Amino acid sequence: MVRHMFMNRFNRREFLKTTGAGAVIAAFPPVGWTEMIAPQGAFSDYRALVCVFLLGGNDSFNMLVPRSGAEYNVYARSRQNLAVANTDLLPITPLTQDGSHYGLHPTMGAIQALFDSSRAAFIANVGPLIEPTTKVQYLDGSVALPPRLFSHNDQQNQWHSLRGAALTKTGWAGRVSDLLRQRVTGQQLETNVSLSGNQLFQAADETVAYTMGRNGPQVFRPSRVTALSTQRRGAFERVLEANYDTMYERAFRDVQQRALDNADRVTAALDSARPLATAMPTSVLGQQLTTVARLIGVRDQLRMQRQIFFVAIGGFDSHDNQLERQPALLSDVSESIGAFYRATVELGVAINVTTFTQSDFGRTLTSNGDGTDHGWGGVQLVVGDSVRGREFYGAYPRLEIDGPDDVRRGRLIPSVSADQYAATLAKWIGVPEADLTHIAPNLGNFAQRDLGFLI
Amino acid sequence: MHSARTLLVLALSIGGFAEVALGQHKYIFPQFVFGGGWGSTLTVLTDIDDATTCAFSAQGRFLTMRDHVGNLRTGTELTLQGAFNLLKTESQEREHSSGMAVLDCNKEVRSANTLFSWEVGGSLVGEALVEPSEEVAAVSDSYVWFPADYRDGARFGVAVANPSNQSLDVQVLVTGIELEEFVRTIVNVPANSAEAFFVDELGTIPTGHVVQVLISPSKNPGPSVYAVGFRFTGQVFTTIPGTVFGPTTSSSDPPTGTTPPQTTTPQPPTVVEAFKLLNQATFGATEREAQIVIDLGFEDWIERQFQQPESLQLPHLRSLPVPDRLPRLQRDRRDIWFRNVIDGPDQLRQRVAFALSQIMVVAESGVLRQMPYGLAGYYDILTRNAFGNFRELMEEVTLHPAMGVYLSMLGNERPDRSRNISPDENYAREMMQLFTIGLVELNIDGTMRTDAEGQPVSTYNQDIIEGFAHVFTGWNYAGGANFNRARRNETSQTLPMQLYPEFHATGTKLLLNGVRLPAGQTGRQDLEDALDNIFAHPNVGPFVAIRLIQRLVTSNPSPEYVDRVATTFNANGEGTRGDLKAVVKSILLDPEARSSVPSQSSGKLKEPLLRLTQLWRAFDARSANGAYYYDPIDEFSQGPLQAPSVFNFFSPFYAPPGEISDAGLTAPELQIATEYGNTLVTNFFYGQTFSRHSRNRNLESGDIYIDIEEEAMLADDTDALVDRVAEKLLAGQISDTLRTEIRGMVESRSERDVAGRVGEAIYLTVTSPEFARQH
Repeated sequence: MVRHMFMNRFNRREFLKTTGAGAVIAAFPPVGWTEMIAPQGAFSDYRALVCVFLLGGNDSFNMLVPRSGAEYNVYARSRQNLAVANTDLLPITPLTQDGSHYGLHPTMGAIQALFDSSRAAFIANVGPLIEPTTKVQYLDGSVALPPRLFSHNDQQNQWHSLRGAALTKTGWAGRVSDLLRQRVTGQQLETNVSLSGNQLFQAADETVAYTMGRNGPQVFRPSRVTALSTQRRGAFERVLEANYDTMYERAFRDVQQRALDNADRVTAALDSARPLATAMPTSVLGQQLTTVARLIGVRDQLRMQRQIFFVAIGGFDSHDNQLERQPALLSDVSESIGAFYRATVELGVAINVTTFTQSDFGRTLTSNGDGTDHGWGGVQLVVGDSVRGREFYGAYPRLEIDGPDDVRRGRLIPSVSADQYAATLAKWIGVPEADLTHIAPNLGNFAQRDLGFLI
Repeated sequence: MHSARTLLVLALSIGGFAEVALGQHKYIFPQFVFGGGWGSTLTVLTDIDDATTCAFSAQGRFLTMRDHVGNLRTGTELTLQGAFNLLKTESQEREHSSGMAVLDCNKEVRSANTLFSWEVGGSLVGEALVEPSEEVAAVSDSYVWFPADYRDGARFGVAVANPSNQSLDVQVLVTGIELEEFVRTIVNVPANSAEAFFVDELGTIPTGHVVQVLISPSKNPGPSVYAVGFRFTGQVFTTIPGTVFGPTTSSSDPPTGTTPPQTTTPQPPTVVEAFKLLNQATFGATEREAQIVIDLGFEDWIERQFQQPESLQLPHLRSLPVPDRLPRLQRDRRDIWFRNVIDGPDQLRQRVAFALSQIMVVAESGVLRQMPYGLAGYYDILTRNAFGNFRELMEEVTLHPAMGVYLSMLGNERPDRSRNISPDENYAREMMQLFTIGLVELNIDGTMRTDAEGQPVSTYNQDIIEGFAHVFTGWNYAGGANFNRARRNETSQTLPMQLYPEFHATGTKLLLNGVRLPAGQTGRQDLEDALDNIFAHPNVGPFVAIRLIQRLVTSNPSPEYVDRVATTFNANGEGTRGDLKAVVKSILLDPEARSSVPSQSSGKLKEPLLRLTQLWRAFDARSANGAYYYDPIDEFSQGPLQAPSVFNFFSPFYAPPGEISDAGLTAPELQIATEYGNTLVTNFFYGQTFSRHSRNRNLESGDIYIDIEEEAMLADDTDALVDRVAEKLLAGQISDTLRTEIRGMVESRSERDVAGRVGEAIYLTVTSPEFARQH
């Protein structure tokens, strides 16, 4: 099984130990491994990416909806009982017009305000692709496709890894962290921090992601330091330092050691921070973003220069009861991301922090009665003062069943690839142009390497 | 007691026995008769050839018809209409009595089952198909063993037959799980008769527990014993076949077709080996269970586990008052789960059910919070089918409303072009991907099949998903006036979903392997055919094998191990596909599971919740109020039916970055062993070991505390204390480092600080990497 599947995978770490840099460049990755050729200087500024993953596949064609008569009617015909009423949509007007008018889901007032003030943009119809894909090519099988479209975990993995059919154990945020690790000096915390568990997005070869709870790290008990607790902590650490026979024990030990190393330091830094004045939502997403804001607030104590945060909320897999479920979810996204933006303003880092969404897939335009099924392309949101806001990047699709973008039941072929989206974000946080294909391996198949939504 | 439905319990015992032979092969049916005045019909189903002749007789003190004899011929069924018109009992104080039937044949009869049915006024009120049990010969150390389940107000009885011409004294021993004795007595069974009794008539049995009953001939030499047990809940009798230990047949007449006796006696398992099995097959090794493994050997221990009564959840929830808000019962659902996995005698069944609950995932979220009965009933499906057939499990899972709600098959309707409605694909996709076959074609050893270009081969495409999505249409809560008025209530949330034919898609449906269902079949027929289609896919064996091995034994089974288990899945010893009992046995008895030569990838990391239950079992954790009101999901990242999504708590493919990933291996449990999660577990153990223990006089009634009285007695002897804790938790295999560090901590506490010294020893042990590892 798995042992066979991965037995022959190229082991880069071993390879690096035994091979010269020139050979490495020739063999892996396809484009230069910059740090090995010309290590660049440490970063002097601070930048952070905040990935908000909407687990289950957000029905984003109900999040951003065409309002113009003809386009709305096409939408309403496709969506039937799941359509948002035109009069309920919150109007937004991109600076660059495509001839249609658009509106946001009625629960997303906070995002409407950010869009109107040029602090938010939408990437229209983005999703995993290997190469540009038309409906004809899709149907006649003449184009390479990501493996197992429409399946949750496979498509989440595509967003995380961008590796297409290649087996991989790293995610694009993990690869960013590996690439930048020589240029962040003295960081007291890993570049990658997750507030929502281990995932592929941040998995890396050389660096690790540090996972905390939605309200921050957990400190080892007892929290009160005594002679006894200090002695016990020493005993605990010496037990961890022993030699262990199995890789399971060693991996478990490594986690325990990282937990011990980080919890006190990060908690102390957080405790020393001035409380946020910005009112934050108390939802699960709101709590996670509150913690991210507080961590960003102590970036100097922790000597952080580059950070990638992963937060996530579930519930978007709206196979049923979509009309009841979706408003609360989108409201949460809007309120939490809106409040988080205000927190970055309060901290003076609104231009240093870019928040972006990812989700398994968009959903089918057709209904199954009271919900929708797994689709493909969808709409994603980016927020921050580095965002060239009040724009759509990529063409908003025609929401027509059996239309030009529909491969069946209203599953729309993306017009922008997740690779282009990731490469644009990675470039902003500091990955050199030459290394972008290491982050986004399919980038070379697309004409536009930078979608242009970040300054 | 005329409400009693099932009135008789029979056992059929196969095996020749020379001393009472009239023909060459006799089969004995001890009977238990409850109530009286009922008509009944006995049907003997046999598989006999032309040369076989059998005589059948029924006898007993309270049977109106004695010594009825009939001849059986090929293809016939012996039907004794009215033969068992039973009388009132001899004493008005006893509501039951006994009888015995004998089937006497000139040849061995295969597949002999008895179907007993009871009619009242021409209506069938109960029936029982009874499987064979064995003879207990009058040889020393020979006995038949029964688990006696006295939970939920049930009682346990035994019927003993004596078909010989000598009086039989039967020793009846009833003990608790720690062998504390409740009953030890002799029951006389006269020649050619039978006796039946509830064991609580012979002595006081503590209610609410499972105890064990041992029945043996008391005279050696003497007549053999034939016995059958039964559980009676006040409504229903359930036959409990016994397990025979010791010599079972007389050497002069061994039954044909059985395995010859082993010529070499295997060494009994060591404590370490017993712990290893128990951490694979139970919710945590304990010393007393290890002793049973040592006494019985691995295989007999597993066989004995197969016989244990099921510990279910729904009967418990149903026995509680219905609360104002149904979600409050989720606490009780977790309580009964903990009771069953901590104290239940059916440990192996519970462990397999928990594994299945992580494959066929349903989780307490959304509407399912309102469905505690539904979730309990769903878990009971997994528990009941843990040793059943996978095909039946697939069907019960598919039709359960909890799954229907979770993966939205419930309410899934046929396509309606005018409304742009297509069938919901959720269940179709996930049940194939996650429950049965997975995404890519597998070889029988679990490795990926590849095409000519070396690429994996998908098991299905979107067309097939849509085909199954159409199959799974038309089902909704049972009992609705129609599809749109089917409603969730306390009853319908536990009943299989009902088909509402007008909402079932009637067209053809494309299934796996090019099969296409014809148009116009009923929804039920479509469902059966579709499940058969999936069940027949060659992936199911290796898929189920890998997932169960990963939950029970190791994260990284070799292809050879997977091959052996998948082969058993494909055909058990009798050619049946999907026999989970055979699969479980194959997993646990495999050389790779039993090997005492570890490699760095053998075994696995324990699931965090199993670290907790092992501690609780080893230290008899309980609360003053008797319940386990604890929700482990926040601290242990696991709980019964509490996964964050249908993808379970962790992925079977998860590999942490570093040496495991580099080696191409997996460690699923590491996915939830995050810095955060691990610290929560460590901190929970801090509170458990230093505060919630039996020496704390300030416990709340709901606090679940560990019993440290035995360790407290040793607290002034550091080495003895460390040894004792290591024996209980690590089978005595403690590393030098851990021993040294525990010694240091224990000795830093004063000798009077008994609980503190014990706490240090347990805390450092349960938080150590060596305890986190499952061997």
